Amino acid sequence: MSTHTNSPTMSRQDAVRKRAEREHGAMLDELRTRADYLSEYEYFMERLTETPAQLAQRVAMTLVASLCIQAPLEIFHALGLFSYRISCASLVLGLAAAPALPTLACPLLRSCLGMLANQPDSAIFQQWLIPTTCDWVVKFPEMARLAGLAEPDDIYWLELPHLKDAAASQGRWGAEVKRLVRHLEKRTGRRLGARSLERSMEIYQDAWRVFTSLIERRREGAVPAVWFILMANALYRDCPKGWAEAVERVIPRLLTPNDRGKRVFLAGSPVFYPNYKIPSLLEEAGLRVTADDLCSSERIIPGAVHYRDPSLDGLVEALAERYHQGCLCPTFADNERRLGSILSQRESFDGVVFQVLKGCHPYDLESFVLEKAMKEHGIRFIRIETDYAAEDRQNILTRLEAFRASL
Amino acid sequence: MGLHVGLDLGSTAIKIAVLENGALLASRATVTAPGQEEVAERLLHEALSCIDRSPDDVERLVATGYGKRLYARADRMMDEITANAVGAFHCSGGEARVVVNIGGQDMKVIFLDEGGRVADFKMNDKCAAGAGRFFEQAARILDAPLERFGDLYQAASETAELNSTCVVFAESEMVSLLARGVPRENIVKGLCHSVARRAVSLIGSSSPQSGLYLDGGPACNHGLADAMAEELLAPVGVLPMPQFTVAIGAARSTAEG
Amino acid sequence: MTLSGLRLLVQHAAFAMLMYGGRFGIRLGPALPCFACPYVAGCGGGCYLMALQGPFFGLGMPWAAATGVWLWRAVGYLLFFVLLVALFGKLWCGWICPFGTLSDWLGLVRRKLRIRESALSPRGTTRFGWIKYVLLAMLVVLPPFVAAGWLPQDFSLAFCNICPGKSLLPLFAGETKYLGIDFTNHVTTVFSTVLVVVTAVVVVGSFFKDRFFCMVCPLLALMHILKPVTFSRLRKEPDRCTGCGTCRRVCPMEVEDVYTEKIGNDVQAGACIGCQTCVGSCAGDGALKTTYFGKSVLVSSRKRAAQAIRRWFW
Repeated sequence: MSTHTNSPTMSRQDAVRKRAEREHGAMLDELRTRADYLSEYEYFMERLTETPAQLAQRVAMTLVASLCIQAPLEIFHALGLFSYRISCASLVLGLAAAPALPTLACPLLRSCLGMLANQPDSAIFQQWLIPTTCDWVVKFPEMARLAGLAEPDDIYWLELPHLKDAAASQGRWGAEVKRLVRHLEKRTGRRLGARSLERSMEIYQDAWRVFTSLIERRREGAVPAVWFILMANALYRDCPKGWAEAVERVIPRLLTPNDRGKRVFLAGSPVFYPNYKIPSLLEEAGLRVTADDLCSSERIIPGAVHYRDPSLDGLVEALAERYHQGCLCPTFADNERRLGSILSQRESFDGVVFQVLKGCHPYDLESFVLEKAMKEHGIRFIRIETDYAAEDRQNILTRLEAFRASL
Repeated sequence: MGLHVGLDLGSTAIKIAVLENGALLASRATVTAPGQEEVAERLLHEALSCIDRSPDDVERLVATGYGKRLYARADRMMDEITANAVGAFHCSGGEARVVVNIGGQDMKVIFLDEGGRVADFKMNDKCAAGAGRFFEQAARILDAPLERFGDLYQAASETAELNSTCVVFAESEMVSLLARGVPRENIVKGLCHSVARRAVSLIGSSSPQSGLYLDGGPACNHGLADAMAEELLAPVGVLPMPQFTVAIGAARSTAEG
Repeated sequence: MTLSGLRLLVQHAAFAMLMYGGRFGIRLGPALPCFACPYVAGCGGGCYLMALQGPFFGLGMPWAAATGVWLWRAVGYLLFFVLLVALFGKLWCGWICPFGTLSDWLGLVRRKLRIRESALSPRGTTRFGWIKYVLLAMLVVLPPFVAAGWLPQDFSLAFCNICPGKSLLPLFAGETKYLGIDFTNHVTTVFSTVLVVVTAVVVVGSFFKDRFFCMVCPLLALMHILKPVTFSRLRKEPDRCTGCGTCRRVCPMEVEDVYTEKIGNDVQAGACIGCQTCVGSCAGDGALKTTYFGKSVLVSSRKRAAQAIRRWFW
């Protein structure tokens, strides 16, 4: 009789990395074998599979890891920093981090934690920048500590006022962004100048202009949901200039379909690489996404930072205001105006699909508010609650098919 | 005029309905097994042979259900929610406004408008709590065939308190109730009420007071409809041949284009 | 061409025409709803405020004259003025007024120097907005008194006497005589001293604050009173607004109404100078629009907002 022995040949971290690589590989294979694959998309796939160290080397900038989208990118850019938005939707990495977290933890943050814990070069982030948005984000550093992650030298909190319409909150946020400027100046030993900031703003405005052309094609139904989100996601991992050029290469190759089919507006929790379950199920169900207001997609940069005052203070205030007032994050208390993002696109969709990531409480709550409002406006609405696991694909597909039939 | 066939490839059973001129000629069901396409094919032949018709008489075949993509020979595919709505509206003689479908792995609530179109629907996600699987499990533990659940329900002296609709946890709850000597009848009634409560919470507050119907395999157990009527304080009907409403709906949808 | 570029072009063409048009035979009459100053030799048209106060065709007519053919001409000018306001609304202020263009130049110098714009906050325009109505009242009330002989003749054209348009615009025609103290008598001394002070304040003010004078412009007040007869409207569709605050930020008059509006439709505030910058920079598709006779002529869109790159010419 022989005893069954089981001696691990590799560390847990190596095993996780290997599985994550397989997940990436499967995702890339899936993308490359799609009928609508274009070689121009490779650029974006490369950006999303690059490690932070590779990225830092490529852009020749110091990375600052940040969560969410409230810290104005233009300020980092002007100071020669790269704001690396921590975002990851890997099921494998999420599962790896799960033991250290509450059962109902936000899948996105869980994956982010898993990514940082298992990435060999996550020590490259000497600084974390955390805006106080949702509870998961606020508690992220503490959870990371519990998960045994090497703490960065410096955690910088950006206190986000959860009121948008109140003048006092607007003032506080303006001051908060100015404090960030001073802090980054101190860290880099550089001074932020009005001219360089304006130049960075123009670069981002240019990227936004290109993005807007892409969005116009999307409204016509020419950009498949998965590819659009992939391209948008990649802006988290790239300099705006190179990214805009890559998008400009894609635009002329997109084909506007004759039959626009059933078109939907995708709202709710962010969708990020490498988990495109919902967009691909939407495609499978025969629904075309022509618009969205996800913070990882159409809202990835606010754009349109128009200003009247090109003095340094004027520019910083314009940025602060645009990033705060224009943000539709459900963590804001007075968020009634977020309806505008959907209603203003009324002509380009037939129904709204709202995705809630299990454990994402702000979007969960908001889905009910939006559902009521949409029904009052006579707009069909469906709420899908899910996470990154594949087991509910069938169930969701059935619902989406029935939703399509009802449009 | 040829035959219209609806094929419902569900998670636990495959159902087929053969219609001619809108009238049901034959229906058949079998347990879902690997190789669904052959199982379905066999079922089709059985159904056709018992009415002495050949596959050439089939004008259109519509597949629905989770496995609809597995049946490549279908003329058309449709989603089971729309099929269910069509079937339930027809089988209820146009009365149905809210249809609760208890499937093998899920529970759906479909709201219909006056014309029988889907106005809204809800579906439990990911978990088979309160669905057909749950009853199968219970039948095994209670050692009573599913067909007898209706009678057991009627024979219950009181309702046993069951808190869980989770397939896994309900098992231990039932075992401990049996151990305490609670009669099987009361446990069945408790089960029905716990599933009914789940259905009621899925229906939500906006349900109309009439036109409520139950279908899906487990609805053959009439105790479920009674429990639901009690929980909802409104009459709940069971559609005739509740297992076949989706297949009938799929078959009828061909007639309607 | 971006909207701001177009506006800049129109502004300069209008400046040239209204300041020098007379030399080339362009005479648009004395009833224009903008500061086309008649004190500028060879100007292409005159500001209605002068005609309105004037001893010939305005409120300063002697009563005797007000019964004859003079009256019809006065009424004619008034109707012509109302028609021009109805036709172009506040485009006169933001796109045509030479004095407005002049203050935009001062603002441009400030921008080039990257000097911070002074905030008269909270929201200067609402704080000082009442002044324009006081000036308008003065402008309407004084002329009959002068005509009746209850006030000395030097009080005729009282507003023009303290209007910075009179002191500054003629400078562009090489005329400096209106910028200095006129010691003819006590009244002229006081008026001209006040004008020198006002001019200094307006020049400095316009440098540090966009459209400083427009905050108190009585012509803007008069045009706002005429709003019900104008053909154009600034409309907001609150359903399509995401509340990003861009409209408020880019407004040279610091108007808040467009931003705060959540129910109604017309959002043209009293202080609005019709520059259309808010509509041009709003990224909400269809959230803001300018209508003419109920038809949309300019609708905000993400695309337009994305095109407007050189922002600070506005």
